[in-house]
Amino acid sequence: MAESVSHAAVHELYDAYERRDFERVAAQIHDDINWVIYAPVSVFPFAGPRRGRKDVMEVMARIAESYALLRYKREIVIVEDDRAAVMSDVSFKQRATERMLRFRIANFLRFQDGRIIEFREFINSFDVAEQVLGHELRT
Amino acid sequence: MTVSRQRTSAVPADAAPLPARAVIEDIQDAFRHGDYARIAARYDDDVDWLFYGPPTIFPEIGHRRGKIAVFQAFEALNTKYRFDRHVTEWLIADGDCGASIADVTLVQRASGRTIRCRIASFFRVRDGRVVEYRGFVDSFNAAEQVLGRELPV
Repeated sequence: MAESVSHAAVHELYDAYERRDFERVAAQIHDDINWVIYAPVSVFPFAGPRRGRKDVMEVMARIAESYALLRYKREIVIVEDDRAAVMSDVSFKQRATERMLRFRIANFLRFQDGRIIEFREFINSFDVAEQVLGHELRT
Repeated sequence: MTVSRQRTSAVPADAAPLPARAVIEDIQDAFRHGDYARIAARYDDDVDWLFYGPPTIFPEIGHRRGKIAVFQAFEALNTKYRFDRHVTEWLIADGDCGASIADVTLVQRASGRTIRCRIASFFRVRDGRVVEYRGFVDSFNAAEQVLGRELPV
């Protein structure tokens, strides 16, 4: 049977991310994490697959470099056994342009030995790309 | 595909409400079998349904309120796309909520293009029926697959 993760542990992880406590977040990430953000690398260079804690922490650092987190409101938190799914209403400010971005974000997490071993992130990437670029995409 | 306001007989009126996991599993199994009557029986008449994506490329999705409107969206999607494959990769449930990731392959009927994407779904269930749905896809990538070319940025 899979080990279980608690609601409290998931909230603690997101609380740490929200207050930009990356040391605390890093402690919750497995050395061998399998990580994917599904979004175009042409707009979000930090998107795509990553393997291992070092690469994942680099991703978080790159996101923080380009975008200031203004809000990360968890709307749905689902926890079962070793897995969690979190849907949040988030706002960021693009530092270079001061553009405000607002979108919903969906995370899926699997834990092993008390740390995240698998992570998948989904956004409405077409809409968020338009917000980042400041113009509609030509289709 | 026609959906009436009458509840279908797939779920007996006196049946105990299923938990969220069972409801989602039933919907996904029915989807794989193209059994839309069974799916309809698992959606609340007043469901709040939202699949995030660009209306310019996917006018069929977006926000829909009520089972009739949701099934009109499904019908519009089925007119344009044929669903070839739906594999549930993740499914977790907790109380009245559940979430899943599915690996989906569909074919654009007009062009014959194959589109493969992962769809993330969040469900809220009450009395054995879905009352709220939120769907996510890497919509930039899905749009490129539908258009058959890269989007200029």
